[in-house]
Amino acid sequence: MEEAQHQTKRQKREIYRSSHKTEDGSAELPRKKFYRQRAHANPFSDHLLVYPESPASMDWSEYYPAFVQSQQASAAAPSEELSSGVTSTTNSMTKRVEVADIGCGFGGLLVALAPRMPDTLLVGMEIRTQVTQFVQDRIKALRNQNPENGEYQNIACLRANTMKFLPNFFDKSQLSKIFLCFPDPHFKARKHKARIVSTTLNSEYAYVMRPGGIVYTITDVEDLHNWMVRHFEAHPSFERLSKEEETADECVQVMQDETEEGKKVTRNNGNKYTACFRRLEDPPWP
Amino acid sequence: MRHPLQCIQLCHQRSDTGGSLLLAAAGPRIYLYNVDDGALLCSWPEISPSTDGKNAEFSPEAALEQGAKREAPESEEGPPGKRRKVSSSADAKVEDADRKAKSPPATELPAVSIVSQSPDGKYVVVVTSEDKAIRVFELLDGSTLNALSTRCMPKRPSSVIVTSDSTILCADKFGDVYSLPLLESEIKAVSNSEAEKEGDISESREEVYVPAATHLTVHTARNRMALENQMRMANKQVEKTGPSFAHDPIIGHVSMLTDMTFVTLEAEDGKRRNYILTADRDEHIRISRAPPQAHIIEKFCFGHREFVSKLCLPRWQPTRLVSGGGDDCLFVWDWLNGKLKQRIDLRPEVATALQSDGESKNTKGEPLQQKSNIAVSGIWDVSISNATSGKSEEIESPVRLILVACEGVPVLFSFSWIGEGIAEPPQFLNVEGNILDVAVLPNDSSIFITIDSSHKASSLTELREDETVPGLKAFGWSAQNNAWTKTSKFNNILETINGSNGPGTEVSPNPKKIRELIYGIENLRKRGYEE
Ligand SMILES: C[S@@+](CC[C@H](N)C(=O)[O-])C[C@H]1O[C@@H](n2cnc3c(N)ncnc32)[C@H](O)[C@@H]1O
Repeated sequence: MEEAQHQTKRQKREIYRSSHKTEDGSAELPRKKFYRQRAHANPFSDHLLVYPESPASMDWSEYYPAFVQSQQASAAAPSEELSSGVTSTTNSMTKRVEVADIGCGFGGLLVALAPRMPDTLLVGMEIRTQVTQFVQDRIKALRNQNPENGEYQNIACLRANTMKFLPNFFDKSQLSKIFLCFPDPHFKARKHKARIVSTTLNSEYAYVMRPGGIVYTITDVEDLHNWMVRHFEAHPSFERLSKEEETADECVQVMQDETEEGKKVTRNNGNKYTACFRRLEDPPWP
Repeated sequence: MRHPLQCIQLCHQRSDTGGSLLLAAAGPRIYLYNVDDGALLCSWPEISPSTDGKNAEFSPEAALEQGAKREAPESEEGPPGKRRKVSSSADAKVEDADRKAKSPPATELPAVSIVSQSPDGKYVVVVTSEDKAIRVFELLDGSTLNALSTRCMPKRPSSVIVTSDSTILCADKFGDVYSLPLLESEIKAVSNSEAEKEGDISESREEVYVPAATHLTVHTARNRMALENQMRMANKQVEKTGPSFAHDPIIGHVSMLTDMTFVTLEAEDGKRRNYILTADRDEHIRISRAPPQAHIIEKFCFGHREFVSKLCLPRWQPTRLVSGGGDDCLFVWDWLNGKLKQRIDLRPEVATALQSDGESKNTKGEPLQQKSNIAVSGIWDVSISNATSGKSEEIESPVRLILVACEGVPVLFSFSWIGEGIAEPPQFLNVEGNILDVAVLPNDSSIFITIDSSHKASSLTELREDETVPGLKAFGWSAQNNAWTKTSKFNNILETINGSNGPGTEVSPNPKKIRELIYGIENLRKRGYEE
């Protein structure tokens, strides 16, 4: 029974997707109900994930076609380093990604930030396939709606388990902003390592961020807020922004209002707890 | 069948006569040998003649300890309340008679998975697998292993290093690295009343001590007494130190850690910098600063496409890293800069090794097929100074070798290191079984190799029919032939270890358990990926 139901659901989805044809320039926004998926994905398991072998082997051009460099300009200098089999493609982009929305969900934050940071490349990273597909279709539709002004060319979404593979996508000090909006809480004590914030994962965030960069966090779960604050404050690479600095940062308001989860919490009159952390310079060696 | 020697290690300390000492682990036990005369100096846990019937081997240390225990049974037995404390598990109330009736085999002892030592050689650190315990021993007078502490870790350790500042770094299968003191000054016999006061401690500690033997394994009263004492000591230690594991790990991957190395380099400013390199199942090699700045990740070495299982920093050029895992090749890195320098294809070598290895292959021809995957199980650096050639016609540079073993391959690959990297092709050192471990005698330009004497060469599953294959082998480097050759220098120790009373003969081992212990590498490969 369940199997059959599942089948028809999938069939519907496929019919919908093929008729939707965002590839062909449709400007119709995708509908969420055709992209439903289980609420949680296990960050420890070996999903059939595709991820670059290294940041140098990541091909960003298909995600940001408007930021691909012209052919001659990108003629790469022969590197003396033994290439790992994949030709380096980062050279062919005019810009590098600087902002990551980790666990971006349905992409509300990306879409809201796109026009506010037109010269910056932003990427949403999401572990659930269907949700990723939704955001990708959504971005395509938005691009097709705005062909002249080039809006939404600076945002993209890709499927990734950031807890395992963040450093495969970004070089050391590449990012200036990381958003962690309404992460899954994982209430059980035993599952704390499944949380997207932990002392050891914070070292990876610090690695991909440049000094001065900001990590933005928001949640409606007070315990999780306290957990995130405690773990970032305890990490020597981060310091918390003061409340004044926080309110002065436009991104904080956007994160509160424009994420899908943020909207849901507003509708339910729930609390939103925000905290931002600055990446500090590494200390000299002891 | 006897248990193969899964780990061997030459001690940094020497015997009282200045000779080398070899530590060997077979199943649940470790043994200390004098390399020169082959004498067994000590073993742990002590071998009880009653349980292990056919073997009457006695370490002087064990005999001594048992003597001591006989002298003071009262004080060690203690009041009944104390005994309850010792065995905190539910079966504590089971009567002795019942225990005997349900007696499990001695193979229930946790198996030794790692043998390591402090840089000065004064301490030996052993990891036992099932109880996830880190056990610290003091090596006294180059002849006796004195058990100091047992600490159970939250997850199974996969690599353990003792640094020169007396810290144990422990990498585990949950992806975390913990730092713990080698010696804990507060590890002292806790008085009984104190222990009673800490009533709810079993809730606060993460792991309860799992004894190396249980009441069910030891039969004589004397041995039971010794065991109880051992358990009591261990439990106290865990009670004291257990909660300290609650603190955060110093490094963490969201993956399984497979290997770790620690290295000190001199920076341009002349200061010393300590690094920790960690390898995981998700193809990562991570370079972190060592404590107190272990939160800083310096680099990643990207290039592996399958799990990484082994890291080796050649001592003559520690800015290079040789790594191996589930890929078909070895990798050589300029790890400080995260740059791949060399990729050495192992596929032709492994194929040749399996073809050249005896008849068993040719009959069925299948092992080659089975070996469609390569899993590097060991990488060792060997530097042989040519002090032997006294004639000063030419100042000969030392011979530098990288030895590589792959799981289920009965050949040790011996690559020359020339200039800044590995030179191909390697020499083949054929042995009669799959290679388990290698120990290097630096001054003697010799190596010991242990092989799997339980399974057939080139197979991870087929048991041998013959029982005659010696588990320990010795080879010397011949400067004339520029090759490893059989040597008679070590006949004494080879005889003791390979003899009928050698290690691994006390317990009749369980083949499945052996397999789990010695062949874990290929299992690291991700299965979902084939799709
Ligand atoms: C509660 S949702 C929040 C979505 C969005 N940020 C918002 O505020 O509307 C959390 C999202 O994180 C994703 N996620 C969880 N673990 C992840 C991981 N390891 N890597 C990438 N995404 C992850 C989940 O699939 C889910 O879509």
